[in-house]
Amino acid sequence: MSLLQTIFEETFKISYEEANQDLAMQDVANWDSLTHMDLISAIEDKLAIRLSSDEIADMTSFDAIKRIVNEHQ
Amino acid sequence: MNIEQKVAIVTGAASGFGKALAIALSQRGATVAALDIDPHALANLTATNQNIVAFPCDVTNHEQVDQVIAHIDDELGDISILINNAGLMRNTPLLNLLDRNERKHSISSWREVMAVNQDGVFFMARSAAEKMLDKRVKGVIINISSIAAKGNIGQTAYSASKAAVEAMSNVWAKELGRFGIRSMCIAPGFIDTSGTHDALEDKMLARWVEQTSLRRTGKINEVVAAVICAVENDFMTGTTIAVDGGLSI
Ligand SMILES: NC(=O)c1ccc[n+]([C@@H]2O[C@H](COP(=O)([O-])OP(=O)(O)OC[C@H]3O[C@@H](n4cnc5c(N)ncnc54)[C@H](O)[C@@H]3O)[C@@H](O)[C@H]2O)c1
Repeated sequence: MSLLQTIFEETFKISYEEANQDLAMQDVANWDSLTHMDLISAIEDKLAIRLSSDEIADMTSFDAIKRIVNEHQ
Repeated sequence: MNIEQKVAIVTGAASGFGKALAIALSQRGATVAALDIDPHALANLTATNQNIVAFPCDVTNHEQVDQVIAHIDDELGDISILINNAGLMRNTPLLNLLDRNERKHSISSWREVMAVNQDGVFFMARSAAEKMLDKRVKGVIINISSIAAKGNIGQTAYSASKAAVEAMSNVWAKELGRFGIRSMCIAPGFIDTSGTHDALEDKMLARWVEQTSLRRTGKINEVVAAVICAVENDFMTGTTIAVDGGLSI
């Protein structure tokens, strides 16, 4: 899952330690509807997966993202 | 233009820039017609300022606008200054992937913003300019735009409405200049008003401030100073003054 952590770090400009915790949208200063688009495009590009619109809307915490990405692998 | 003894109209005068502009113009000796949809806030403003007269008005209603302009002309005299300030800011991306119920930019929010920011400016200008022209008053129309006119991320409707305001303003400068009537815009960046805080999440505002050369939000009096300068300088027309701390460079 280190690739996902790197994506969290780069997208939300947070530290490695923060990217390693289970943070939710409201805990991350930079996470809003616009950076969510950056997040989704980074995950799809770097992990070569295609997310459904329901999955995208469910991805509101790091744990939820990890769970959904896991289901694709 | 010397502001003293002129009749000035300010729309959206009940709060933020509009209120500060109404007070600043009245302090310089103008009689100010303060227009807003909020009659209570207007009453508070006029209670403490002798030279400000309240005219409750919804700028999106062109019949009401025509009536109010006629009243102002009857009651206060020739209109020399129109400040089109009333406006709404909404922060809505074209697609919100997090919103299951409404992923696409809502049509109602688009219409709401365009009605006030674009139609309201058009309705006010056509009515006030007619009076200026009929009375051969060398008046000035100042439209409050925004740096969003260049296209702010997350602000489709707001950006479109302010781009429309700048385009209309240039057209009026060309059309009315031959009669000595001027038209121009002031384009603020992010200014510390309740409107800004209502429309923008704190984290989004912090990101905008980070991109501003001066690394702060602007102050209302900095916008007021630019408007006063635009009113007073008779050789400025068909242009837009940015008051944005360097955000647009
Ligand atoms: N605050 C900023 O940082 C900022 C930046 C750039 C541009 N602007 C522009 O400056 C103007 C004023 O902004 P503000 O922050 O002072 O806003 P504000 O929300 O404090 O005040 C706007 C006023 O307009 C009035 N209004 C709204 N709809 C109306 C209608 N249909 N008819 C009549 N009045 C109506 C409201 O009642 C309110 O009193 C707006 O045009 C806004 O787009 C503001």
